[in-house]
Amino acid sequence: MSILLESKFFQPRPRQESVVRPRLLEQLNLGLQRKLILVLAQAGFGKTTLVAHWLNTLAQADPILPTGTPPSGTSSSGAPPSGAPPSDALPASVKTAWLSLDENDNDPLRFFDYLITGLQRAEPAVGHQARSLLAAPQPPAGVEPLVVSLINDLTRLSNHLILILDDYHTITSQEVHQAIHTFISHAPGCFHLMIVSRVEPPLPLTRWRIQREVVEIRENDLRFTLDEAATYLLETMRCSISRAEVAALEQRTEGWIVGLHLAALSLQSHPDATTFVSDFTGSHAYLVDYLTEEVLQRQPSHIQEFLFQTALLTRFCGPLCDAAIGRTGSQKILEYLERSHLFVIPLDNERGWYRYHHLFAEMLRRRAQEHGLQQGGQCRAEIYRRAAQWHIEKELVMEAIEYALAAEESDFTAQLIESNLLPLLARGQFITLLQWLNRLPAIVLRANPRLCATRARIALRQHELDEAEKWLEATWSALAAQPDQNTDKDTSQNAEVMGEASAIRIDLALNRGQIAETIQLANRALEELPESLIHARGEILFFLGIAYYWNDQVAEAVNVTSQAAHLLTRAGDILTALFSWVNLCRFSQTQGKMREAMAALEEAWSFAVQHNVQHLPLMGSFHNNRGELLYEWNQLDAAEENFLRAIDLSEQARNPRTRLRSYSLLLPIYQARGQHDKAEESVQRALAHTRQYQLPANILDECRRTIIRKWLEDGNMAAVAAWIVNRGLSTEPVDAPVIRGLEAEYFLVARYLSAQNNLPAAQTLLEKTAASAHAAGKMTAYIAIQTYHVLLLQQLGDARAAHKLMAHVLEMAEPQAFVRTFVDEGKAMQSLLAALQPRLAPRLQSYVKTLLQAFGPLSPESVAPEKTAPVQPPRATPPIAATGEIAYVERLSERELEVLRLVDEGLSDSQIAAKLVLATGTVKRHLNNIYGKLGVHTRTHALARARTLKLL
Amino acid sequence: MEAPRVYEIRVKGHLETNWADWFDGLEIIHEATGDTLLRGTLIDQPALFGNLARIQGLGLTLLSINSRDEPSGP
Repeated sequence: MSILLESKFFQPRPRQESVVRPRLLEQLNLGLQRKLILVLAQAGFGKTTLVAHWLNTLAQADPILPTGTPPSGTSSSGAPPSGAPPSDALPASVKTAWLSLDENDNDPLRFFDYLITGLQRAEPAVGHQARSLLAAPQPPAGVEPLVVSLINDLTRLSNHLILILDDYHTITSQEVHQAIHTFISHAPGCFHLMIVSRVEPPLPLTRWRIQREVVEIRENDLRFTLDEAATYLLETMRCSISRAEVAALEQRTEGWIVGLHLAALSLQSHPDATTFVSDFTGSHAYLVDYLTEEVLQRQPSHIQEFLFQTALLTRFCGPLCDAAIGRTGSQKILEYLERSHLFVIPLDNERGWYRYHHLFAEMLRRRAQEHGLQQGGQCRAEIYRRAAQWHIEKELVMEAIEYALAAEESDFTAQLIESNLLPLLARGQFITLLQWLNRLPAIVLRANPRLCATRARIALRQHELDEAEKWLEATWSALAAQPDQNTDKDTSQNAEVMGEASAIRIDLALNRGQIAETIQLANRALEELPESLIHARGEILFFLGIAYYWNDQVAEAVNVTSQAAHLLTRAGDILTALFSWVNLCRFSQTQGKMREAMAALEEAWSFAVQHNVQHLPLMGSFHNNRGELLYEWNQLDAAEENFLRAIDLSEQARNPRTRLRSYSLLLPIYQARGQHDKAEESVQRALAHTRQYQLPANILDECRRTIIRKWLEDGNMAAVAAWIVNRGLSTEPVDAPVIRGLEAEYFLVARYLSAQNNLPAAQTLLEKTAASAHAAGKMTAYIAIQTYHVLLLQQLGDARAAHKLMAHVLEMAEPQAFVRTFVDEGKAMQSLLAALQPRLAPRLQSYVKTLLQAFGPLSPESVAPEKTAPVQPPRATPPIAATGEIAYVERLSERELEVLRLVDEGLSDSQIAAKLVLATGTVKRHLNNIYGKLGVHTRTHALARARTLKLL
Repeated sequence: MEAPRVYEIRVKGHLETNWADWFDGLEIIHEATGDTLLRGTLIDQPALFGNLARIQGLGLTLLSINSRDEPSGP
């Protein structure tokens, strides 16, 4: 079954006897050395014929190499090709992908859906990641990630690939233009985009001309020369006219091919050629009207009728015409039309598909309306309805739905859409679906519960919450109004819709921040919905997990989210399952179960790799979570790498939420390293984000807390005091009964009080806060609070209590290998640990030894660690020994290896940036990381070191 | 052969001159009236319609279009 308009991929076939135009073919051959091939002219200049002919010569002369230089693998710089991968030197062949565009392709996601499919049919290895991106439950915010992913795939091609976008003038979407611009700018040398259009596309052509990146065939090139006109009129069309008359016609039409064509058709039966030629004058539109009428008049009436009726079909073949207009022998007529040059354009060699020339089809449809189609006893709706039926039988769903809509057969259309919902949703065809649903009469749509639910889901994805609510209500009314259910099948289908509607309802409540209501609704739904509705139950459990977490019920959150992960995996909803694992990591981390958290991430990672979604922008939160764990384990470089990766990904997805978290999580790393400029920069970026975007309060709070912690360290007490007031927090511990949910905030208030020398108040507050965190199962927060509490007790002079609490905290922290929580408390903690170490149990002694190493030799008076080692991960208790996570620090990332290989090829930073579609700054950052990891300072040393380590 | 023609396209308001790259071959001239004149030689109809589409895409208000034969050089 196909849910794409198959005929959009049909490549027109050249006519046997068309005029050979070597001057244009040679020009087109140059295109194999350029990125962009433009064929620009108004209708009727023979664009399609020329391109079809050229592609045919390519296929026959294959492998074709134009003149000398192989395509370069690099960049938009316009520099001479250098360092092209060897595989590009001899292209195995030229492959072509054809895509005919229409107005509906202004939906960027739909445009790319077709583009990816077209490319895949020519090159099956291309576009798998882009495809999975499209199918994501949260679709990409823009098409940029799709473009980036496709370009990466194309750089691996070993042959030429030409993508032809026909009728590009139908595209008006700036987003599509922008994507094409990016695409051309970064595509590798073996890829060529051909744009066939009536209108010059909005691309920086001037620049590309200077850089010799574009070949253009324009109107004046396409006009028939006198010789071509003579060959055409005398040989192809077999007109019996004089050379002078040919010259006259050529002059009158200015080489406009459709004009010549119509003239030739009229001439075939015109008694007086000389008079005809001398009368031949007028504008294009006039000529078409006038001559087509003449040509039509000469056709027998059954051919005229056939033309009027089939002009309603976008593309057609013999059997489709037979079915649509209820006759036989259409194939013969089509062949006759092709033989007589009557404006059918043959598409696609084997299957016998055609379309009418655009000018002719428009004119026919207009005439058909004037003449009235009822002549043949056929009304338009009937033809559309039969065409729809024929396409259903051929399993061409998209065409079927389009024709059914044109026939205005609403119930039939609704059924058709409903039975194809799953594949359409899986492909992310939301805009197409929305357009269809909007074209259905309200009464039909509102009677169909499943379509109402789909409408609600689309609204929710577009963050139109009220609209979603409205359609959700429509879903319930439609379900209630269903006639008695006759069969088990009906019943189970209704149950399914009910499950879906419940999930949407809960998602909606969550989106509105109605936490208590979400929990209540979800639990009720789980009680009521049958076990068989795996997907709906999985989704509901997923939402419930988030609600529990926000409601400080972390253990419950973990429980339902792991159930969700399993159900969603079973139901095949890969991406929501992946999100479940990522959420589980967050929840476990909050519970202080760092190892479980990392295990959940490992699970998520292998799951993502298995389904080839590991590079998707939505993996941003994965990297943030991983970075957070690595930070606690004092693997600062690896943590930083993960946050930077999250920023990269979230920029692709235009996801400010993830990015804000990355910036605030980077802050402690820079603080720890003493990189104050970078720390300040992170603060500024984070603050800019909080001002620029509307973000949920919990995300903003998290970000502000990291900044407040920095301000506390910097001694910026006035700013901290202002925050306390604005956040509605109390500095009087007895007045702060509502600590629950605000533990992290009150922890900061306690630090503030202590900095203000109000130690008793700070201590009371810490006790309360610790108790609250403990009760909520937030053990990471509990350990952090108590760690600080120890120092406070020490300051208060209660050494006994301090030591006792310290032992208790170490006891809890040791199994999960906490490091930074202690190290971030600074010198006081270092001295205390050093003093305490000999008195601890042996197991804790070795843990503290690791901690002390992590502090490093801060100052001469602090107790020196045995070895002045650089910051090391806690070797004594490797976090996840089995997975090699501990070796992560030294290991280069995939991206860094990629950069290193390009350095090895001798590319400059900007060339690497162009090739990998990154900002030059990002490449520099990667290089710095590589230098850091390899312990070198120059490219040459990096390459040498990489060779020694067998990385290259 | 259709000869290239000189076109003068007037749009409302002042258009930043850094758009010149996008208006293929047209000069961007700010007029005292507060409007903008895009002037230059366009080689064919697709080029003209391409520029008009760009004007539409930028949401500019089109005021007038004039054309004349390109003056033949000395």
